[in-house]
Amino acid sequence: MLFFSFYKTLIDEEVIVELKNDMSIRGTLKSVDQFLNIKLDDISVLDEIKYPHLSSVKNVFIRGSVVRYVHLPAAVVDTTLLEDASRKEAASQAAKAGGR
Amino acid sequence: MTITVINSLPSFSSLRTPIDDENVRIAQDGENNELYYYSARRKVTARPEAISISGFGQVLGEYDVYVSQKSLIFYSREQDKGLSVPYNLITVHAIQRTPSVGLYLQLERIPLTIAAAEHVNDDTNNADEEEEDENEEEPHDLLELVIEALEGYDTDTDIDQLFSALSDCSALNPDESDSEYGDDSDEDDGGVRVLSSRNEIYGDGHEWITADNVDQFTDIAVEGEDRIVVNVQETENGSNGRFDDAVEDDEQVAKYRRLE
Repeated sequence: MLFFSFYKTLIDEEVIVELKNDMSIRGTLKSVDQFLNIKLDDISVLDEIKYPHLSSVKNVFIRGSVVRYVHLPAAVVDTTLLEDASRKEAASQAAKAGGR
Repeated sequence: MTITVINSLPSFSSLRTPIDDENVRIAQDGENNELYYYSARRKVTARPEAISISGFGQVLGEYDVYVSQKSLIFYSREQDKGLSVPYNLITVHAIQRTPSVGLYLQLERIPLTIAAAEHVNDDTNNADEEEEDENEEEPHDLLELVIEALEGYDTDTDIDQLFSALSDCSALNPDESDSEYGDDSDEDDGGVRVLSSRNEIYGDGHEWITADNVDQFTDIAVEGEDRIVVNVQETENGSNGRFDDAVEDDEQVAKYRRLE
């Protein structure tokens, strides 16, 4: 649940979500759930010429499973803290699996 | 899961809001298939318009829209057939405001053909030779659908409800293949409750089973005052794992007695 909690701290920040189908959408992060489904407001598609489809849309719901990357503004993330937390989370996941 | 063509509507287990329409059937045994949103005779358009879904045809005209727990359904009364779209194929859904109000859907991995007679536009990145063969199927990158808003109705509320219903149902249908860490650690338990890992007895993820919380563990039953029965399931290679010695009879049950 680490990244779920992490994304919650980024609500109202502007992010760029890159999808596995190569489309990238910029918008304000409004909500996230445990499956990392993402709702963005005030969106704009990065390559509008290649993807004119979403030009008339303001808010989107993006299914978590189609997200490849979420690009974040560097200023709002404490990368050291995030790396430490990720390492701890990974270790505890490995311990849970290893005990079987 | 793939998109399927249906010739009759499934039954739904319950309705979110009362619906007065004989086309919507509720069955007692409609296993966990709640209907979150329903609207009759909605105009649905596809982009590109000439697109044809294999086995179904073009998306043209009016459809009854059902947002149910299991899938999104477009049903045509005139043709008496419909499309059932599982939520894992809906990559994005959104509220479109211009040129008209509507619910925008982006679908992936839909088997499509483009009608041979029409070329959609010159910018399509597929080779024209492939498009001319009507029988050729290839999974397209994107299929977009727009469910047009109702006219003369409380448009915004209706579209908002449709958007919310899609969001809720999409969240109810996460991808199973993804190993979302932290979510499915219990699935791999094999019924065996891990009390401690090899290296960290008191580390993260460790939990004690006590009289206070034993009810929470469904694979453990307390019998009387001095016995705990643990349900052990076979692991993949057929062995009972670490509880081999403790199994006393043919049933896969390990029994523990309190030591006097």
